[in-house]
Amino acid sequence: MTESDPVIKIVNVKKRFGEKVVLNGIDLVVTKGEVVAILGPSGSGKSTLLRCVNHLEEVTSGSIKVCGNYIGYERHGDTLKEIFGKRLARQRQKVGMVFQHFNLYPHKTALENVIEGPVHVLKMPREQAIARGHELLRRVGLADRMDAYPSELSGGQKQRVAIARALAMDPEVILFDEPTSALDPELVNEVLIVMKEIASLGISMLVVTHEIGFAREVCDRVVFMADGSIVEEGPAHQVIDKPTEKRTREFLGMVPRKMETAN
Amino acid sequence: MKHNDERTRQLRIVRSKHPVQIAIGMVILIFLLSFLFRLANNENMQWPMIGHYLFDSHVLSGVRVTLVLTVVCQILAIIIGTLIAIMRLSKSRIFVTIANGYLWFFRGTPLLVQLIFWYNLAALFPVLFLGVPFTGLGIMLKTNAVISGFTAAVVGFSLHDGAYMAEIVRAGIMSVDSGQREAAITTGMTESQAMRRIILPQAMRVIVPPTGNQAINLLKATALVAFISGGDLLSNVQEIYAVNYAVMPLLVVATLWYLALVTVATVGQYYLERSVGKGYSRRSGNSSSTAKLDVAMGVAQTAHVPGDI
Repeated sequence: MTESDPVIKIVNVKKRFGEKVVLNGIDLVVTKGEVVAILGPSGSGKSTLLRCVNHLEEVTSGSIKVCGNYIGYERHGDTLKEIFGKRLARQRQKVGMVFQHFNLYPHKTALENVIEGPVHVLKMPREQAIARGHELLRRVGLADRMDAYPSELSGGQKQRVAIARALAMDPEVILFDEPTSALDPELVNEVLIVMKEIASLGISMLVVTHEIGFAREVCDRVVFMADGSIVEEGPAHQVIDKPTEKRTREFLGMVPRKMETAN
Repeated sequence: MKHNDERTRQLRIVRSKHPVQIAIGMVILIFLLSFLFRLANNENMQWPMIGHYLFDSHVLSGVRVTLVLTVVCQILAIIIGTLIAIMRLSKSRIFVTIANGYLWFFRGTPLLVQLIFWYNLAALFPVLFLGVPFTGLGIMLKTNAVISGFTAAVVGFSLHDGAYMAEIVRAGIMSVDSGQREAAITTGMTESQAMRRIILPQAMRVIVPPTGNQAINLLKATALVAFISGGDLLSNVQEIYAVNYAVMPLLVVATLWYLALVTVATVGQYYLERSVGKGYSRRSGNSSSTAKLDVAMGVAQTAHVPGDI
């Protein structure tokens, strides 16, 4: 990857599940260090788009380049040939992901969750991985819960461990799939604060969220999706405060602004 | 009134006595004791004979064969079962077909028939050829030199048990939330790393209990080797009573050994279950995942048909 390459470059991506068209020609570029929010009603294809970016879902047509590589494929002339195994895994190392339901490994402690990737994928010496794991968990405010199993943590704590786990792989970009939607309202802020801090580290972020306040305050750009297409995109303040499209205005009017700032 | 309040504050809780349960327990205890009493005083039991043969060298060698057969076959069955289960859950149509075909055949034919088949393999193929097909490269072996009662038993039990283990392992893998695989591969693991490091260790919780059941079943099923003179516990006991006609005492000897081995296996299973349950304390476990586990265990249990011979 050269410096000028965007971190994510999505070109004319279409995705069908059987007859149902979920993504209908998406074009989107995320540059280095950029924080982009994807808003939209449920069923608009936001999560599917996110899952295509690290090849958890295969696109039906179009292409997605992550850090200069076609994710899940290798280009030969005008064709994209499917890849798998180690080569696909290596492409995915650069893309972290944080899930709505955390997906922590329940049989491993918080620290073990964080060092699993560095030790077994990056082959980092265990002591070094543990030292880094300590630092990351401290940074997300869990210095005192490192040896707790996920079943002993609150939702907000679990999500912060999941964020530390993603950071441990030193990714170029982290994908957030509705990271606060499964949390009790009083736990949402602690996760948003951590996300705000990551945004300031210069790691690119692509965030599917319903937190309008977070999107406006922290994100550089907002993309509004409906029915598998991008309806409107632009600087966060512009899209949220002065939306030009009717669908965006309807959506923003519908969504209660329960959180004005991430603090 | 005040006096009454004071008494209300110190009410004593007394557990109910369940008289029907006690009565049933007593009746069964009486029957059991009278049966044991008659057994103990029965001349035909020839108790000294039991004592004499319990640690007889021929019996002990039978115990050893039974034990080795069970351990070897169970390990092979777990390996076969895991491979077949992963093939069956893969996206490849070819693998799924192979796995289904395997299950269809080895679960669909009686174990005893399979054992006798392997034992008499020489009747079908007098010579075994190991090598590249259609080229003549390889080695020839006389079938009867390879297939003894023991090797026929190892092949037969492993293949048959492997089919049942495949269903148990499959239920275990399916009990693990698909988000676990996704979390693993998004941290750069390959599919096989995710399976080995993340999915299978969690599946163990569901796999271990029915596998213990399967191993105990196998331990007893090895008695079928007596049909092909495999030198196991029952075979050797039969050889002894064929000479001295002390059928009952020697069957008691075999029974005591089988019970002892099963008891040891049960204790082992308890500790194994405890060690794979790490991180799943009940105190803060969430109910949805427990419900899912129970469903998966149901699948595993129905996959196993006890006494399928």
